[in-house]
Amino acid sequence: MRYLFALRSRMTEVRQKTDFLRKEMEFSVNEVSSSEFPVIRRGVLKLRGQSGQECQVETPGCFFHTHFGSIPHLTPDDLQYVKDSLSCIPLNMTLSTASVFADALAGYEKSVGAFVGYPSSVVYMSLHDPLVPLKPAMNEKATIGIWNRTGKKKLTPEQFMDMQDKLKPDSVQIMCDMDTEMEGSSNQRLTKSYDSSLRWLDRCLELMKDRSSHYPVLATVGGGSDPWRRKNFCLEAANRKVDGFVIDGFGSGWIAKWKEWEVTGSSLFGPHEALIRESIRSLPKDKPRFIHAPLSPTAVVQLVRMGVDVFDTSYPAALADRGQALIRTGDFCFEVWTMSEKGYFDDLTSLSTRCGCYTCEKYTRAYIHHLIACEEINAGVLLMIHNLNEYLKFFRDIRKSMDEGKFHLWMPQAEAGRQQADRD
Amino acid sequence: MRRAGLSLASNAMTSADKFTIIEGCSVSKARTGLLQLSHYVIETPMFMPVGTKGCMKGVLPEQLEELDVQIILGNTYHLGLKPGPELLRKAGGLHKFMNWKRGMLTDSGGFQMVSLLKLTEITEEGVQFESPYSSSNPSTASKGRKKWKSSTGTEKAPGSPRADGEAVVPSKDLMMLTPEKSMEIQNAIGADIMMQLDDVVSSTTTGPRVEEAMDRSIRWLKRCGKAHSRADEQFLFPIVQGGLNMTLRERSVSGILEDEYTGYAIGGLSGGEAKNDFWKVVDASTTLLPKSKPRYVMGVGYAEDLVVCCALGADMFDCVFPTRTARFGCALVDAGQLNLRLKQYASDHTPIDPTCKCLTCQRYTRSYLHHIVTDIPTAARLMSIHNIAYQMNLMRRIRNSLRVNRFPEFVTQFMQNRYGDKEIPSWITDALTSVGIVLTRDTQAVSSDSIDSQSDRKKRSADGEETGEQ
Ligand SMILES: [Zn+2]
Ligand SMILES: [Zn+2]
Repeated sequence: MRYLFALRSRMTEVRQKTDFLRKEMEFSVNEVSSSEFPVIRRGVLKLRGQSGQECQVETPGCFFHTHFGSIPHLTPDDLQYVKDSLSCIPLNMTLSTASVFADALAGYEKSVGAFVGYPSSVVYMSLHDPLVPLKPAMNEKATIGIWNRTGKKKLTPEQFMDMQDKLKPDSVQIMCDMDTEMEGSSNQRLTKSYDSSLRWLDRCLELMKDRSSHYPVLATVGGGSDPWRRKNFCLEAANRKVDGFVIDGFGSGWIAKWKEWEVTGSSLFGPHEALIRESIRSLPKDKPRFIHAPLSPTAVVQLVRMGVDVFDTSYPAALADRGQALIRTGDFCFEVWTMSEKGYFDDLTSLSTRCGCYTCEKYTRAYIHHLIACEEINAGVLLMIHNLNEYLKFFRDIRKSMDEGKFHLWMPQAEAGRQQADRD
Repeated sequence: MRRAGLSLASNAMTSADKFTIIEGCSVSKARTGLLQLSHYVIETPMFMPVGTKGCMKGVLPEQLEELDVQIILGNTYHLGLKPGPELLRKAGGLHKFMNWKRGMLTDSGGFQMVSLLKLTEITEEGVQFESPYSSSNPSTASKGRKKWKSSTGTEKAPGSPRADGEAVVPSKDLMMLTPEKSMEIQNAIGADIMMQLDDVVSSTTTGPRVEEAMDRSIRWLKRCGKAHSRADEQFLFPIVQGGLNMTLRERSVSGILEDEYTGYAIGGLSGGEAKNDFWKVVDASTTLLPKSKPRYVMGVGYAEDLVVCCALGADMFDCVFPTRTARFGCALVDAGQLNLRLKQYASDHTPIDPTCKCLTCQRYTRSYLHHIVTDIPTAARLMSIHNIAYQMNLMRRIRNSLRVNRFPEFVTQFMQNRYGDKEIPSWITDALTSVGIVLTRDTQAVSSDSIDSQSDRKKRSADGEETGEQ
């Protein structure tokens, strides 16, 4: 209870302190750690767009994952069915898809957010779409490779900054070489990733000084499963003038594995859990930590407990792509339902009986099953609206539980299982 | 959302009051009116977008309402197979199942069979066809497995009977769609308007087969009427047949008029016949049909066809074209179509149509659409929204011009916008002349009142470019 009080009063302090936004990106966070709960970070990330629009993201929280600038499956008016508004969720665009229209923006006088249909959104430009697997060997010594439908595009730091200057996002993930794996990346590969990433980071920061353009920037920290590199990545990045960090370098295999972890009940990073936890801990506490991946609620809780602040909505989109629904089955439990399964054919109940979103209010499981059977794109639309609501509510509930001192109740089932096993 | 104090029809036979003509054109046969349906009162002339399988591809029902769509079309053939009449009955009808509150029309299912399936045989009993899920047709049976592969592997092997949905006649390779079966499915769907099962022949067919089909269609109409179990809520529309033969059309109409119906459809067109034949049949049919009832020309959706058919006295239309072409990247405008896949739109920062009020035109440039079109589902949605908006706007402009008795001026203006300096096709001038609308090159007289003037549009478009590109 004392802990709860402390967190509350400090949150109030934090809020007052940040009422006035001086920079394009400001982060206030309150971190509590105790022996029982490794880390509890609760904060507010304030962002300001170039046309003056402001966005206040409560953390742990998430950004809107987009594909070619659009929130997958949705048209902008669908956001009326989403409780959290654009004023508290920025648009996370990815350079790999946005690059196709970078040149076209030359003659466009409004913001890139307006171009993709979300004029009031603050836009953060990360590198790769978390739903498009990284292709191996994309990065070379002097360039990163980004893939879009026109093929591979190689970018030097100069070209990378040129492209950002065309797109003019409101904050940027600096180019990095994160094409490493948790298992199997050679020492040589990890060294290259480490060297290139830091060199490019320095070069981009230098370029920004010379140019009129300035963006709040995020540095990416990787290092595979090598403890020294993981830690040093963080320490080196922390020494630069950056506004936040993206934690990466787990490789595509890791993303493919999250499903398995949930089934087997092991921890998110398997044997590397402590290593990742330690490296995140070595990042400065007062800057936001991002992660870009389609993460299930279970995975999100584990990462929040490790000190990650910002996620994205690629998980609900990935499920909608596959015709799946994220269903909350209990206060702390989620299930993923595959709506093409036969049992839903004549199930005339609403998708989730506890949700109450547009999809759940107006349609039945049978109807969604029918749309999938007919390959109608409306299936993705309805599932996305529901999944997004469920996912965003999950984040609201995490924050609420922190504010009420009950975050420990989010003990992932996986971990509970493991602790049970430890006791036996 | 039903408008002003309406009661359900009590008897399909006393249906004269369901359709009210508000205003008729003083020159041509065009008119604007209101058709009172169970779920909604629709304004005519009206275009009905096609939502084949129980949804409008890419557009949510609320978005359709926003676009002022008042009635949509569903396909009995598809809905009879998936999800099947039993589930639709259980769900309380398609309106409830798909969350649509306004008007709905279902076709009979016959046309789809003849056009989609190879092995169809038409007998007096009905349309016999091969099940699309039968073992001899694995390509159709396995369709849908790629995209929506279930992680638990619950798909059926090709050829096994559908355990999850009642087919028209399940577990048999040969199925039969009779007038009675068509009514049964359409009653289960519960649309406001149902179409009779007709014997469909291609519009280019000639000879005794046309006559046979016409006569059989009348016999099937009577069978449909008998089998129809919800006449209070669902209006059965007969279909005028007879190919391009005016004598047969006449016989068809007189056979149909032996009983009274709420409205009538003109069928057997839009199948590749010459435009000159097309308009003459529409013209002859509307003249033969009672003036006090709505006339529905099936399968018409091109803007110029809609305008001409309205002038010839038609009231309702449907076509897959506007939404289908949208998904392929084509946007409809008065001057024709914009193929947004073309490079020329890559840096075009104007909306599809600066005068259009739809979400797509309000929020997006041709440039952005060019970059996403055909790539992501959202693009298909945005394009469909605009094209439906275009169709709805066109029909609204027609109705508005009729209300102020300026329909001929509208038509003149519209054709000038559409064809510009190009010559207007002779079938259009012939058709319009036949109802008293003479198109002249000199449009000085009408350009000042600007029902929809091209110079105005061009100016606004240029303004958009100025602000867009500085
Ligand atoms: Zn829901
Ligand atoms: Zn539009």
